[in-house]
Amino acid sequence: MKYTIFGAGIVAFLAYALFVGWSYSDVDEVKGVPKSVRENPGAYREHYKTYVRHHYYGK
Amino acid sequence: MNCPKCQGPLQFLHLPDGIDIESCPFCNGAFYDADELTFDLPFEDAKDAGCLCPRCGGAMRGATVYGGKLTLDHCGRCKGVWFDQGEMQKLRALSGKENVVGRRGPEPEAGAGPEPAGSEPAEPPPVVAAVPATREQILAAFNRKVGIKAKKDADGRKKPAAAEPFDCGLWDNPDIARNPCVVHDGRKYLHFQTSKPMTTYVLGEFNWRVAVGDEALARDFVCPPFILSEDKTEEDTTWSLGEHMEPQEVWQAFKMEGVPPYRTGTAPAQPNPHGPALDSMAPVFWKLAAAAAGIFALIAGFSQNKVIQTFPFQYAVTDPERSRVTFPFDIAGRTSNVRVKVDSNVDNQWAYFQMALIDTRTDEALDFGREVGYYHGVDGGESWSEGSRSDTAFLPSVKAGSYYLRVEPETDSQLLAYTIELKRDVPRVSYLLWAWLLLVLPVGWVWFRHRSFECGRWQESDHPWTTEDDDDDDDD
Repeated sequence: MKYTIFGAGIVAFLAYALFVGWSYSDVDEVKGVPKSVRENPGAYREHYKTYVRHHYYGK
Repeated sequence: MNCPKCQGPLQFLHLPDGIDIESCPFCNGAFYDADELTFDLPFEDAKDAGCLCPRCGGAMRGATVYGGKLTLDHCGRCKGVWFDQGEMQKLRALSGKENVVGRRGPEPEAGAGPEPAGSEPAEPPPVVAAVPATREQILAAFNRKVGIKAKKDADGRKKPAAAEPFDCGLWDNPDIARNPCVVHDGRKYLHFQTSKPMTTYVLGEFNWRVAVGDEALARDFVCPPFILSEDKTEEDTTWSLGEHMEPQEVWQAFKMEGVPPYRTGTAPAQPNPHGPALDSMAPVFWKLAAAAAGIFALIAGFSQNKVIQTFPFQYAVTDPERSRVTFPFDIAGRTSNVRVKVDSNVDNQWAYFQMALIDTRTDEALDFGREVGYYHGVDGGESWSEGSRSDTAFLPSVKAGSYYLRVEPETDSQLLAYTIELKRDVPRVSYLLWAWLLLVLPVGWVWFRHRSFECGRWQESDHPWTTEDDDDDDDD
């Protein structure tokens, strides 16, 4: 019975995630983006975090 | 117990006065214990009936009564009587007694008086042999309702047996040819072990004569909670059916004081405690897995899965501003995801794209970044490659509206060409795979414990569960 409830929960969450497009992606929601971004794309730069490369390729 | 005439499974029939008889639903015969008849039948001439007593496995004899007007099969050992269909009515008519079936008064105790002259020599009282037997076998011997059956082949004729060899053909065991399965009452019993026990001590009550020093070839077959044991001597073969009992149950049955000893190991016929859980979870798993697949197919079938826009960009290190914005575009449909796919021409280079999908009406943005990097070369005469020129991101629960995309690349390349593709309402197969994985994990855990229990059981048998890999490891 517990497994049935557990499994039903999994299936229900699957249906929800597929339907609404839920995702575990690392996406930040930012409000109040300046209107000037379209005219001056660089104006939005201060909202970004400093990018640091973690991976180094090559043999 | 099986019918001595047609071999059908006997059924218990409860009669008044607490009398339980065994009847055959196929040929309508019935077996009565000697004390379940109100009087001793006047048996006359007797000859071998060619069948075995369903109670004790003794040879049945066909004896006439009332001047040969009726022939009844009775057991020379336990004195039980088998009535074919219609024979009970004939007996009533011949004896003139209406109450043929019923409990008699208490019988005089053995040794209370001299045995009547001319009477048939009594069968030796049943004794219990301390054959090195399993607990189940001993319990089977004590339980008169379980039934013991035997086949004798001393006269060279094959007699009906309780169990017939059966090649199950499913058991991946090289000993299958030497150790077949047996089928009894519709259950398939797997060979567990073969031993050669010897009687060293006698205690209690058994349904056959036993003497110290007796030897037999014993084979045990298990179908938990049942165990079928074959004891083979030069004279005959005895099949015993036992059923596993919990230690506490046995302890109470014998009115023992204290607590039973701690149980160690796994008994041959001990029911697997994880069996019921596995049996109940397995069908639920398949139903849920099918439901998950069905839901995925349904939602995927109705999803847009449609490319909204594809934006090609170029970046040169000489550009005064590396950021780019797209023209506004509409994202339609119900709230669902947006897949952003980045393709670039990096070659032994990397590029990082900081992106924002900005709602033109609310000025709210979804910020995200993706890195691509592709390296390749030849090292020691072997070519290698690493990384990828493309990557994807899924933006969750994007509402319908007007949006534009801002992209700011960072790269070690002097000149970079890249394309960003936006696709709406993309079904994600990985979610279905995750759901299946989560569903199978509990079942897998129970299956693992079930199998571990079975490994423990069969480790004590002649067929321990091993694999060729294990053997190889051992060799190593």
